[in-house]
Amino acid sequence: MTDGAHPEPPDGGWGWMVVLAAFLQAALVFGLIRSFGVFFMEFVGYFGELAGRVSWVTSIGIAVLQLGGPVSSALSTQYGARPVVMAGGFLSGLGLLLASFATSLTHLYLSIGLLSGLGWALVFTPSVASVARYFAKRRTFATGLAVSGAGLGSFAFSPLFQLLVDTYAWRGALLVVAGISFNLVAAGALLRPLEPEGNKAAAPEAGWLRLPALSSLCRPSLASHRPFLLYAAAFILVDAGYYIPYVHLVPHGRELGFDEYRAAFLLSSAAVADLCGRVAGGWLADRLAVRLVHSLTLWTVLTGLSMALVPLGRSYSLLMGLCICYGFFAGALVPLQFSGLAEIVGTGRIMEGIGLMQMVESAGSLVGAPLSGWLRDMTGDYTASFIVAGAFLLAGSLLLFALPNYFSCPLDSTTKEETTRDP
Amino acid sequence: EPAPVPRAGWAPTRPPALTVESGGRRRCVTPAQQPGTGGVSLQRYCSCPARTMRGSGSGAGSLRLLLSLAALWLSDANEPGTAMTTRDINQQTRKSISDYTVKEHDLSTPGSHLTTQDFNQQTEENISNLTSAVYSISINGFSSAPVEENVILYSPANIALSCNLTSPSTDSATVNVTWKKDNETLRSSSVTFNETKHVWSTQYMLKIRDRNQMGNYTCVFKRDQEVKATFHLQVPQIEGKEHHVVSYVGDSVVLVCKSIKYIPISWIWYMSNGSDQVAVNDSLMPDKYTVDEKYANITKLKILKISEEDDRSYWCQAVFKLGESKGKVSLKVLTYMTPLKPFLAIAAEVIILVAIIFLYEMYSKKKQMHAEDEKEFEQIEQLKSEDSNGVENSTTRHRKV
Repeated sequence: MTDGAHPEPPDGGWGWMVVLAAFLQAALVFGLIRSFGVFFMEFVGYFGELAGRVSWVTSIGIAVLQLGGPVSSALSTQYGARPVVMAGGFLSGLGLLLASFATSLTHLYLSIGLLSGLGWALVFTPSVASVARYFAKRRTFATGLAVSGAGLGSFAFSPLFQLLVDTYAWRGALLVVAGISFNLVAAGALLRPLEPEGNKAAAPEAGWLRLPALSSLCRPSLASHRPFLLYAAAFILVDAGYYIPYVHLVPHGRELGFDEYRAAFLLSSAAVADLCGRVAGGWLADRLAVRLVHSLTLWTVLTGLSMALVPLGRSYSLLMGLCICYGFFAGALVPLQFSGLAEIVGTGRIMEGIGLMQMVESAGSLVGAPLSGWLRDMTGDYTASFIVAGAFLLAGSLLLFALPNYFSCPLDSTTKEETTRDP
Repeated sequence: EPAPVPRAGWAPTRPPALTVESGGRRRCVTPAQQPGTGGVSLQRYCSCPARTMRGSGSGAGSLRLLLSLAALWLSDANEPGTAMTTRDINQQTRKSISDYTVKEHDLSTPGSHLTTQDFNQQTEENISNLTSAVYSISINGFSSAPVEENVILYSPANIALSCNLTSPSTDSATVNVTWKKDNETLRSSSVTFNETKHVWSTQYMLKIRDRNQMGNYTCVFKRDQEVKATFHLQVPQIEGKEHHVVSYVGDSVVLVCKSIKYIPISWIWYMSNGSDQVAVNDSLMPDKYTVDEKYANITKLKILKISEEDDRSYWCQAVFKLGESKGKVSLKVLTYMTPLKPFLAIAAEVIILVAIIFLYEMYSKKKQMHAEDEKEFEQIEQLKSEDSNGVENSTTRHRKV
């Protein structure tokens, strides 16, 4: 891939609209998924099924979201971000619409899990990649702003979904949520492509002949890119530990003797800190003269440490403090993860990179929570789980040290890109 | 959520009432122990079947058997040692059948029969051995406002209601105490009254056995002023749902009522019809109403094929030994049009936004191209004018020459 097809990132201007689009998408995808717990109780009551079977609905959706990453990136490399995101937005809304007519749990697995999950996969990867393409100097800050949409979205949607369910019952509420989800199409329309339309015109003629290009996802060229592999491996480890507190913090709090609301409040404060961390981390990374991978390592180490220290928090205030630290550091590393990726693989291959990384990360997150639960069953409390989670994060940050040119002096990020873009 | 409790049923593991235990229950002599007599000498407190000296006719025998069974059903199945086990009934059945074959023509039944009364007395003795629960209210001074307390009673029990009045005044006038039930003065020997320095306390012992004894009990202290405290004896309250349960025409819905701490004997569902309450008959209309009572403390009414007429209030009534209590659940029925309107509004908004975004993009592109065109045009004009100047110069030069 040559550089000529990719113009200089504008670092502003329409880029801010792209950030807005990505913000809305993070809110409408992850914020929606995080607030789906409201519907969970309704499904249990209506279908009379066990909680375990109902929770597969969102699990399938998240799994399809992550595994569909490569498909989404291949499609958007081929056709551009905008059509793919708009199609994805339509699919996710359609899945929710069909779910409102469900008569059994299987319908929900197929409509929300499969269809909406696929839509979400088509939405997420291209939008984050677009932000990376539009910004160079302020990339991390822009990404931070964009992914903060997830936190804000879950805050807004939790009470909103509850209100909808109280007013319209779950069927009507799903219908309205489907409509809200269709706004992803509008957000996608904002993703104006950077390349002049002329370059894209060459593709459709050979488009049908280039269908084999989709098979490139079977043998992705990035798989032989050593820095990418290291980076992905580091983040598999990070993901294995990253979600543990979200899953086990509340039970841990309850086991320490705090009542339901105080334990839930621990999680809420971690979520607020996460939101602040995302924006602050992004902003700081662009301001400081420290190299991106160095900041990333720092935040990852801090997250790992705070997680491993959680078992030390026996009193409520100490535990709360540790949760806020964890939330902030964990949030800060998210925007850095994506812009770090852009640095390593270059904006030309950012689509492919995010897609692949999503799919690979899902292995880490699938392992993390069950492992932590198993440790708790073995040892009797969550101390071991949190320490192991912290250890995963520290191990991931150690792998980051192995990246090429890690120990060189801070360079200009754009020149760094050009050196890594060469195949 | 608390674990649901299976229905209490016939509990064969309860010890039979026929053995001597430290609880002071009486021993019963079975007919087999006295082969010589034609029947069994009855012991008053025993739950063995009654027999006269000359045995019993078949009719009276079966009546007695029926009575004993009836008394068993009336008494609480949960109380220890008061009811017979299936084994015992079978024993008596066998015995009475064998008696019938021997004594057929004797119809008179003098002597004491075992009736419901005897059973209650047996029950009574077993409950009397239970300790009393004490509920007390403290009143500070004669000028305090009337105090109230709710007492939740689930099953027959012995309770003691106690009022303590502390009055710091040194006035040595006597204090009169009366107890009232629902504003009727009680005259009972179960009232005690103590007076120590500045503390007057009175206690009323009650044996709660049936629902007539539930109500409001008030202790009134009277000197020159009057002060009172009230105990509200109630069965456990059932909580319904505050908000409506929403459902759609043609869909099905499940209304749930729970009684977490106390297990009712049974549940009855009612629905509102105008201003009355009509019982929901799920056996009459099985296609429409199904009551699920898998666990004794949760009842679920499933309503199928909902229509707009089902938009009304429903009550779940929990039946306890000492009374009933109701919880209210309201059902609201919507048509599919109701949520469709906001959905269409949002979908329209999305389409409009997309249109605006694309139109704006085309417009700004056009402007860009127009601006570029203008720039090109200006450049061409400039070149042209330079050329034309050159041409003019040459022509003038030409003319000059």
